[in-house]
Amino acid sequence: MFEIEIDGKIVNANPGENLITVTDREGISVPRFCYHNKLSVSANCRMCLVDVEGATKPQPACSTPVSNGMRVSTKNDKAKSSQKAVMEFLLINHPLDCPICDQGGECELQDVAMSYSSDVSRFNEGKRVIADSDIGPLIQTDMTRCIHCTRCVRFGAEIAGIMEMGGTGRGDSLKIEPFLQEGIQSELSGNMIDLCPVGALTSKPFRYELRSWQMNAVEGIARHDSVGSNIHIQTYKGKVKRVVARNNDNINETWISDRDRFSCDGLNHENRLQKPQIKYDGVWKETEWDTALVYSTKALLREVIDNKEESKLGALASNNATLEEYYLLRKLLKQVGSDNTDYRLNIKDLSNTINLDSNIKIKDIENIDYALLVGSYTRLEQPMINHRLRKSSLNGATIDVINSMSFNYNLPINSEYILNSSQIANLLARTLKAILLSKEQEIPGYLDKFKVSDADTQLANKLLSSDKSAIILGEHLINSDNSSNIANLISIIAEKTSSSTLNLSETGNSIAAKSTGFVPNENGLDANEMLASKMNAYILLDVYPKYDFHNSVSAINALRDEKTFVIALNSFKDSDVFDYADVILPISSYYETSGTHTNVEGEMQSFSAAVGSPKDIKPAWKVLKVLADLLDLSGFNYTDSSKVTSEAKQQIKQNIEHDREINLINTKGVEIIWQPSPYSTDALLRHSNSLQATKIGQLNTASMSASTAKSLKLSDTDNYLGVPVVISEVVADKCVFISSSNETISEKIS
Amino acid sequence: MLNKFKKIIKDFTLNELLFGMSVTAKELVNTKITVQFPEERTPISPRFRGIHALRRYPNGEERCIACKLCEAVCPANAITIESEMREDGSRRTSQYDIDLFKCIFCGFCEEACPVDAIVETQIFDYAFESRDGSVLTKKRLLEIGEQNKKAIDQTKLEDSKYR
Amino acid sequence: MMALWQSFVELVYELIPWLDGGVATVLIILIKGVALILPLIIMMAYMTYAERKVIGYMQLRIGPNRVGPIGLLQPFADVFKMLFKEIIFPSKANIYLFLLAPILAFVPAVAIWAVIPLGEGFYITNLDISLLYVLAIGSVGVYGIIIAGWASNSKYPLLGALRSTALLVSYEIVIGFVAVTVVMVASSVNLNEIVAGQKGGAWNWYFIPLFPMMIVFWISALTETNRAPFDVVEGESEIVGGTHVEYSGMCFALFFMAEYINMIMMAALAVLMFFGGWHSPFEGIPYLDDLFAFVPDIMWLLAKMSFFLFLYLWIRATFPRFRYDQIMRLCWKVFLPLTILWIFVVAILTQLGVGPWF
Repeated sequence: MFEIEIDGKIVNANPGENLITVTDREGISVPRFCYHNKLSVSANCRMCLVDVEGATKPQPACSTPVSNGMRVSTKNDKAKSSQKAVMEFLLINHPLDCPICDQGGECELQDVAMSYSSDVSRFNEGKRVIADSDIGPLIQTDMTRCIHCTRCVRFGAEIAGIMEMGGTGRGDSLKIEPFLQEGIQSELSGNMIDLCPVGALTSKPFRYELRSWQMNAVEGIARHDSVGSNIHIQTYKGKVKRVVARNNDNINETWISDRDRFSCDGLNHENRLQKPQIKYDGVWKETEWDTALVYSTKALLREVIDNKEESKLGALASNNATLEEYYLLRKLLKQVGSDNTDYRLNIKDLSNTINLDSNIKIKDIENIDYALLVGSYTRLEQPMINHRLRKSSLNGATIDVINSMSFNYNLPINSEYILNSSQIANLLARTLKAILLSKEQEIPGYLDKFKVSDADTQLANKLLSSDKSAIILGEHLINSDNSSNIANLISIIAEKTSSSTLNLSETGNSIAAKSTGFVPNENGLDANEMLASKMNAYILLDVYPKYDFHNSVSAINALRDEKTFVIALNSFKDSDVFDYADVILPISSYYETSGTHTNVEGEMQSFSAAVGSPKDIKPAWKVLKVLADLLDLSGFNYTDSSKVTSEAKQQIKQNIEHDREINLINTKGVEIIWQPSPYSTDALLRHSNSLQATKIGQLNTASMSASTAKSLKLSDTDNYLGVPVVISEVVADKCVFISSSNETISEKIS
Repeated sequence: MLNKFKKIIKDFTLNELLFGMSVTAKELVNTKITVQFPEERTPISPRFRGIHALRRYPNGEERCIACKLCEAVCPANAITIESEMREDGSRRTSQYDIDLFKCIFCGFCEEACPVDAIVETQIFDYAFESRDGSVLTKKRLLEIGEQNKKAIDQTKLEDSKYR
Repeated sequence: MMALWQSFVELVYELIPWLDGGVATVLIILIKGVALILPLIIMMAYMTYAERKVIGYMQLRIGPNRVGPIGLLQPFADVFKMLFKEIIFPSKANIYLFLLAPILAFVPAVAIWAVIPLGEGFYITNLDISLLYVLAIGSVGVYGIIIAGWASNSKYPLLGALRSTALLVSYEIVIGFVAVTVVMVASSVNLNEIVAGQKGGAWNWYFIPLFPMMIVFWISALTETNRAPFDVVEGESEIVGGTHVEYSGMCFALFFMAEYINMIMMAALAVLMFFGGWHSPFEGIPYLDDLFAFVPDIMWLLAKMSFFLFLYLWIRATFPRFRYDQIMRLCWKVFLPLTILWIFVVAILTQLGVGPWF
């Protein structure tokens, strides 16, 4: 720590810091374009030139390290004139098309030009023009406006992990362009829009829509994954128009995934349900809320409450409802005398589920030195977790992967184990045995049959030798026969090696569902049992059976039963809903309702509604409250959702105890891992046209090895379960890895 | 004492009242300055700020590019613009409304416009018969621009010397 | 004039011989009434036109000029406008009194004309106490205003009514004293006889001995008819339209007509009391008398009235509205002492028998 003098003010600086870090901390404004505090320093825009005493030439503040006794002036004539000169050069080739530029009003170049440029240009020669290239459905380019700050290039190289944008040519012919024809494919690409200081990269879905000053920004939480990225929801005239990142160093830093950024497109999709509907004698009729709610109440009374002999009421919810909605639905059912609530719709065998508690904070992931990634493609499924992992990898951490298929990670993988689920379980068991052997501890009976190889010992040693290791379990293994075994093995291994665990198999807001007790207790039926036994009535909260159930066909058939009364609270139209439901109540979607999201580290983030719900659409928590009132249930006198939140928080169950019994099974036959495309995990994403147009949104492959294909008698021209077959050698034997978009899910069977 | 007496005399002879009446009597026979409006008109400055119009380029292309600067600068929030991408990919307005009930005719929109699309004409004698007539839509504004093309071009030319 | 009238009456009796005397009399009275009120209303209508035109000219404008040639049909346009306008009743108003008020204002204004002589023997009634009748009926008009103010159930009308009532009551005393001086000079309260007393040239007219009283009378007349600069019953800046705030359509028109008919009546009264009525100013001047002999006596009256009506407009165009307390001060502290003093002066002059008047 030493003192330096900036503009006559004595300030403290740490050795190794750059000048601009100090000026930013002290609130001294220095103009800049290429510098960004989350990116490396390139010092190529030269806008931050300041006068350092002793130096003959002005020095760029972003790349000048501080030294003891340094005297800097950011505002004297020398600094000012060099900044003005740089500005003039930057504006030489910048088109003055601010009026039609989407960046206008939030443009760093515009802002800086207001104070550092002259009114009249002295450049009378022709300006450089660069043809635009189509770089995908998310980002609009206008490269004539580019000032070559290379923030996007550095973002690709340093944050996204794939250097998709790059500079070609030199001097006047320098162009920033994507290297590949396919354009930008990163799952974090939207951040380039935020980074770009000019209008060269702008949002394509938002193109020509609004000016930044027209919108209100509301703080919100993105709920598509279990990270809960902090966002600003920008609204205009009661409609969500754009989502941008909000800084939160504990969760998402300044980045958000494309999924969080562009999903808001779907909110105004024509498929939104607009009015409550009732099925009278097989014909759907739009009605008013009063009618629909009274009709539902009467049906519930008739089918369930007054029907003492056969009173079976079930509630199923998707994993992206809010904490409040889970709590209210659970409370409603409990008061009616039913314990049948479940959100685990996509799990084949609910007696064999993953129970693993996460005990690492998201921000700590970047500090680990060893990570074992089991059954997860974090890059697409949890982009912000992947970003932290990548950071840890850049910091020197070793990353090992155990999965049934090899994926295109954007971080260096040390060793990759491509195994099917039984093999994974066995590998973990052998590793545990190796760990116990090296620790000279007692070997439990179930490990007797395993022989420890050198490779296992190596894996065990990596876990044992690292100070801060983490085992990350993803969602690929949720439907394997050994899912609970794998989870238990991981938790024992983590305990023995004092590693942290991170359970990414709970996506969306399912951690909130779990903590509010939305899973059935001993008396209740779980989702699969409900579907198997004929229920008298269901309340479905934001459930889209075609996508949400592990076996959509049988689920729809069960719901369709004539004797079953189904109240569907949905925000989007789904072709099937008219088939199985009896009442459809349109509910608010993301950003239209207030609520709470619990992320993977247990952080409960409450958010308020960014916009009001459209005319005849109500927030689900209000619908449930009124339904409870109509049923004459007590304790539903909530005036706003925060009352529900505080009540729910008091009853939250932390770390539910579960047994760690291990009983390894060898899977016979072909194992299907059905992993929805990351842009079709919830209804809003499925209705976001821009996301669906991306390469990731159109993922539609059933990958399998050649031998598996042979055993299934398939070739790469066939479809398997409605999904095109891709024969790939990076898939484990006896495994079919299906990654499918919403368009084609029709025969989903896990 | 004398002054007081004088004042009493003045008051009781209604001196000042009569003087006042003589003034009005004089004006009664003076030349009248009334301008018979629809038949006669007083000259209007080229900077006069009357009803608005949207202009087109000589090739028929509308000038407005939906930059929304006029909307931003409007002190009365009278302008509402919705922008969209036209089929040819250019940035255009899908809605351009001026609420004449809100408009204060300050002319800031004209000043702010980078392409001289929105102008205020010299027309001040307009009327509307329904409430929604108070909102000038894009169609109406372009019509006004079309109908008064010559007059607008002329006034802009006259004023250009001083800009 | 009178002969014409008499022959007309005889004609009526001749034309309807089958009627018995009583019915014919009633019919005659009705015809007389119509014959009086119709010209009066037309006069009143053109008075509004004249007002707008004159005030316009004094303000360098040209006034109404769109309806008819030089705007001559403007009064009819106004009448039709008034007729077709909706009468709006305030929600908590007393509707009976609300409707009674304009009638109470209008009827006395017309009723006064029953005793106003327009020429030699040209009158509807020759009442011996006609001047008293004029003063008495004139006072009834106050009821119209105060009832209107009260019935509207609105604060501005009530305030306006209070102000104007206080004003009218005060200035009636002054007018009464002025009338007393005239009566003292003429030794009669019959308007016919008052005019007869001024027969024979302009120097016989009472405005000469009663000059201050004439001024006082005229200023009081402005106040009595609620005209500028004493129109505190309205006073846009303080109480909006005063008593008329809640009135619209024909209800308002009745107040308006009452005001203008009262104005005409006051002009007539001024001419009758001070300016020799229908007598030519040139009576007794050898050459001029003959020259103007062809002019009917009623024309002299109308000509003199026209001057006073013009004076109304002239004053309105010239002076700003007085403050309420200033008007009251003028009444009680200036006019009242002055008139009482002048009664003594007139009494002395009468005893001395000065000039042609006493």
